[in-house]
Amino acid sequence: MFKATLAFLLVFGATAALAQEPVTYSSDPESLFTSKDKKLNKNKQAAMHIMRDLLEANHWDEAQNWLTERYLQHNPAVASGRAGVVAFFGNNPSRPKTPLPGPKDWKTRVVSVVAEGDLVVVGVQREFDNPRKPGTKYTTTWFDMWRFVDGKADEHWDYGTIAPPAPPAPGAKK
Amino acid sequence: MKKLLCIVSLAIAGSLAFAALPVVPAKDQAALLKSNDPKLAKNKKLAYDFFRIVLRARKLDQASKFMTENYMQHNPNADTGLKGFLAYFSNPKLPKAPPLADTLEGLVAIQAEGDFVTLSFVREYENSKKQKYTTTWFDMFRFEGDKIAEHWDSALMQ
Repeated sequence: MFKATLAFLLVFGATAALAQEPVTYSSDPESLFTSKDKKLNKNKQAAMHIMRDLLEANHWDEAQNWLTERYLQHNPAVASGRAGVVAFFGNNPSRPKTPLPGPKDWKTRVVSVVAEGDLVVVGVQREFDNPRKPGTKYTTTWFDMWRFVDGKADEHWDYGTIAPPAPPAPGAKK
Repeated sequence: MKKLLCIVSLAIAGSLAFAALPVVPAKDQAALLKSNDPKLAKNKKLAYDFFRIVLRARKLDQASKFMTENYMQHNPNADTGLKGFLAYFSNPKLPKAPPLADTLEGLVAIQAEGDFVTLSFVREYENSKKQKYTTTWFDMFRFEGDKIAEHWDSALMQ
């Protein structure tokens, strides 16, 4: 019994001590969208305008400044083309146009910006309800990747998903 | 009912006509590993080999060659630290690891900048009509010297 209790305490102690490290984000996100390399700087700045001006502040009337007309889309739930993205976000009542946030007032929780060649990958913290500990939250990281041509995003990838097959209804015929 | 059917078929036709492009892997992985900056080339190769050898083929005896003791884990399903990593991947319930491969199947791109390396991969899932579609999974690593000290991905808590 003592042994079992000890083993329990050890296991419990270890679990309590370990766990995921929470995902933290920058208090100065705009500083991440820069580079000494001229081309990388230009691409990162364009990525910043997409994150801040379009996705956060919903200035979709400026989308043509940052997205090419054909804007190739790999998010499986969204169509290719700038017009489709602008229609999707720009006409969404839950996404009203707001003034651009100050450099340190972003609501978007930017974790990282990594650029190489024509590509820029932006990591953003996301918070969800913790299914193991109701009433608490946990964090994970969302990524967007863009390929830039002449300072405009021409292609986009992310981990967008579509609803999976629904489980069969109770009593449904197979 | 007729109206509903009409809306549904319009939605289906719409989604077919404007479907997103599939995610495709890069053809030449050796080209992805190149960089004019020797430090970035080294970090990319280390991240690539770590992924191939330790994560995919699960050669856990080689983990400490690639990872710091304090490896910071941001995946919400694994414990932090090299110890937490080894515990997570030693779980006997995990499906059997595939044999060690020379390349990383499904790799889309790698970027290195500063101490960071990101890798992206094709993921294939089924939609509600059991049709296959693709999306993009990302892993990001931060290096301290020649070892990986931190990891982020998009996993949700199971």
